[in-house]
Amino acid sequence: MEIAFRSEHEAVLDALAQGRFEPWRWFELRLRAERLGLTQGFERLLCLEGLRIELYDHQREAVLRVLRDMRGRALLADEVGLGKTIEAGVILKEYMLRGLARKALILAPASLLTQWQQELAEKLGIPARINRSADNWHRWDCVITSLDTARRAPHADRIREIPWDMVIVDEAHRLKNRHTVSWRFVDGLTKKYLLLLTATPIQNDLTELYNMFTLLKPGLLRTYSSFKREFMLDKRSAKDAGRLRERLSEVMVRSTRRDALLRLPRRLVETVPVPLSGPEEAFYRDVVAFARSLHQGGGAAGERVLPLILLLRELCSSPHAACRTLEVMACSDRLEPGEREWARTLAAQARAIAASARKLAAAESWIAAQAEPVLVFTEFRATQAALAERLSALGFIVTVFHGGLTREERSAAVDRFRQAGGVLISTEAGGEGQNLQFCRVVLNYDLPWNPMRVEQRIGRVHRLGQTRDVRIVNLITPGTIEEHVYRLLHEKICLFRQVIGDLDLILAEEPRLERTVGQLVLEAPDEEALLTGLAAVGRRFERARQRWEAIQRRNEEVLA
Amino acid sequence: MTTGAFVDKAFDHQAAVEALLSDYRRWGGDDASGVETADAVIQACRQRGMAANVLHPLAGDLDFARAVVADGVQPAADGALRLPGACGHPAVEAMAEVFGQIRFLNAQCRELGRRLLLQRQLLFCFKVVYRSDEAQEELVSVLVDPLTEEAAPVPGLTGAQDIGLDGGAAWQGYALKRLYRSACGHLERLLAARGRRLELAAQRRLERDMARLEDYYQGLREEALEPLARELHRLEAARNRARLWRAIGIYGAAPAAEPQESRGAPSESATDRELSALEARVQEVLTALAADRERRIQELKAKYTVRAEAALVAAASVWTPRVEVRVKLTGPTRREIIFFYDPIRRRCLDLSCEACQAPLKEVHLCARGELVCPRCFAPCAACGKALCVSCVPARCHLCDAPLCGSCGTACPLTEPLAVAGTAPAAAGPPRHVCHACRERTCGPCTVLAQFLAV
Ligand SMILES: [Zn+2]
Ligand SMILES: [Zn+2]
Ligand SMILES: [Zn+2]
Ligand SMILES: [Zn+2]
Ligand SMILES: [Zn+2]
Repeated sequence: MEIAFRSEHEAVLDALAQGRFEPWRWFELRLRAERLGLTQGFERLLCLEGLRIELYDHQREAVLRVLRDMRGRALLADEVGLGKTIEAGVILKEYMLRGLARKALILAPASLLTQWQQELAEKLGIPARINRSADNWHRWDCVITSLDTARRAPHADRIREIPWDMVIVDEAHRLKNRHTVSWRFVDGLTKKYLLLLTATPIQNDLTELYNMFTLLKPGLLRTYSSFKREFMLDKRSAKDAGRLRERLSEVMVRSTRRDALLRLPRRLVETVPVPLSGPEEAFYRDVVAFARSLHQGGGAAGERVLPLILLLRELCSSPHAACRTLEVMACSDRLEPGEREWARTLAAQARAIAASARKLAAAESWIAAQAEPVLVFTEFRATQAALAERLSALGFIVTVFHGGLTREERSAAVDRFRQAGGVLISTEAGGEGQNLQFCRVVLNYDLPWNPMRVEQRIGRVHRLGQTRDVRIVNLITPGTIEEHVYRLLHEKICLFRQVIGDLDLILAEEPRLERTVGQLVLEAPDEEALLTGLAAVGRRFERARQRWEAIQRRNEEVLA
Repeated sequence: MTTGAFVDKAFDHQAAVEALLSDYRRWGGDDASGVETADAVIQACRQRGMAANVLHPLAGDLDFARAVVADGVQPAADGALRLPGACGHPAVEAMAEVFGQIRFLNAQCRELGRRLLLQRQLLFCFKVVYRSDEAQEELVSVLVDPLTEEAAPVPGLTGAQDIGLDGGAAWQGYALKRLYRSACGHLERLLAARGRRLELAAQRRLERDMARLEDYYQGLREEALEPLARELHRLEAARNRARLWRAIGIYGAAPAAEPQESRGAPSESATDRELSALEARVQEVLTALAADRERRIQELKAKYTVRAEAALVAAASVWTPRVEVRVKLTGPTRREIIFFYDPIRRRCLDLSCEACQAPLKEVHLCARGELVCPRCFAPCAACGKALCVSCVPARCHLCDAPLCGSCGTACPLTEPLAVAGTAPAAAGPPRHVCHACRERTCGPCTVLAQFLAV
């Protein structure tokens, strides 16, 4: 056995040499303290004391099982909403505190990178870096990146050179196929500990289960053909489910809400229709016509499509937001002089109707009727400013929260909201780690066209620890794109009513809804064509959702 | 002694932390406000008490002092040390046991006096981490005696009293370094033994994983080779068929035309080429699997290797008691000796065989005044004179019996011989032989020598 002596003895020997003695009771106290700080295998979770994290029983159990019995190689397959991310973070932290892990690689979907970074930093004090440059893989101890980035040149080779202590793969159902580059990439990494996170290890058939477990513990399920012989009746059903589950439990932790005795609060969805006024409707039509004309007329159409979609989204939010972009367009030399003139007219139109915007009035009267704090979300700073100004003028307690705030300002804003109540108007949907569970009313002033962001908004208050039912209120303008998007999210994905983990499974069908909807609007010759296009998108979502439900059932059958 | 035994499940950590904090506050630890979490309490305590200067509890123990040097010491039989009276004090009992085992076998022993002295030793407290796929930590304390530089694990020092906090008793830097190194050396031996248990446990986990892996790769190899083996059979059959047809072509009535199926069959050389390509593919598959397997085995080994890391967390200067015993021995010669008893390590210092350094229990005094153990005591085989291995002047060259100067006779064969036609044997020092051997063996050789000398 190798024994290394740390060089800290110098200070102690110096104290002896200089006769800097302290009373014996302090000497004994120091030894008692050292003894209490000793690590004894995984009997205690060290980070709970240091960081004051509250873990639920099922999480603590899961963490201890992974550390003690599974020796750091595990599939965390808790049902959605039971906090797999924090479990993985705690496991990583425990290994770090014991000096067993230093280099850690976290592979997560691109949309969740920031969330991982924030959770690790704020809850566990792990300074993780999101890396996209080829040179930094060696430099930082804890690196977060997307699987898609990592497996590509030039990163893949650099990453493979490094002996990782811990690799964490979030949404690990992406590793279901062992003939894919992703699977081979993760398989080829040198790693001591490996955590795979997914609520649905089985997407289609049992082969996927085999592939994921073989990543974790090659040989646990023997070779594929012997697995097929032993455990597969056919692609989808297990032959000897009891024995298979027993084998799987060597490396899999799966809590369901039922065993965790946890009930996520219900989501109560309300819609407040806000019909446009005459001038607003005119403005809406004009802007849509303007956008269509620019899109169809413009030679470099591809170049313009994103700003135009932004304009459409702003249009759905408020005249204030749309006005900004129109003003920029009015001065842009990319537009023809006639188009610039048109933009200028529209901007003036926006300014004219801004003060009397129906949505502002609707939000104001709705908020006034509430007896508790309200968390308002909007996508745009201009809308945020207009709403804040309006509400403040009327004497509401208003706090704003946006990406431009420093860390201290953010905490101050949340503290103020917690203590003073009133309204918090936020443009930030992402999980900031700030505890907003004291609030249970979310008002969507406008809707992101990205389902992930909608879910993140709701997730700010609808999460473990929220004891009351959550109200989600949407201000929807009938007959506009907003209504179409709302129908897709609400009726086809059922986003507002229930938690959909692995949302990316459904979104895989329509990964960039924002762009799809935008293009439909810009390209549709008339309203009917637009509706047909949207119906097709809706059908795709419906199919994806049904598939998702089937997957949930399948996992429950095999794993529960 | 290990001050932090491995895993005590009943141990109430929370209560221990609270007790620690309450002591810290009671003794006026600086700024105890805000110190609440276990981590913070531990950190706060780590700011204090890095070094101490204390009197070992036994050094201040009057009962012990009285029992070992004065009142209780009992008269002894000849050839033995006086023992303290049975008093139930564990340190006294221990000393009585050690002294009781010491016997002077060929000398009378009279004690001239006993004193209790203080000897400063160094206590080093290490925090040790063992890491494999998990981590275990413990505190290990080692006490080093500056006289002998010997280190020993220590029993508890509860009740030690502070002395000289003013810094009067500082240590020399170079002596400290030397003693620290002895402590490290001792710790290394100690940890090797302790770590073995962890290594065994990690080894068992490794073996289980390895077995699973071997089984898996065996399966993979078989599955990978199966289709290749089928292909091989097909190719071999084809080659044989081709050979057969050629043979028929050469020896048999030449067929007018090649049969239908052989036309489609590959020629023999093409089959050979395919066969060697197939072999290469088999090799390739096996090599790839072997490399893959090797990589995983290395990964596992790295995970389960046990490493230890030790850090010195505190050290104390400890004044320990030491019993000095002066004894006069009267036997083959007379000699006064002084030795020490170390009540901490429970053994005598400076009482070891002067020939082989083994600790002495049964003591012989040789004529030259040396104290030796029974193995090094070598009395003359003829007259019984008290000799030892370092002062014995001669030994019988046949039976190796020790001989004093007057009892050994020179062996006649030692004289150089002049045999006709041969070179004379090299002249060595005269050899000695004992009476018995001379009677039995040297008689005949004397005759032989005389005969040869003619
Ligand atoms: Zn000896
Ligand atoms: Zn003799
Ligand atoms: Zn001698
Ligand atoms: Zn002899
Ligand atoms: Zn002889």
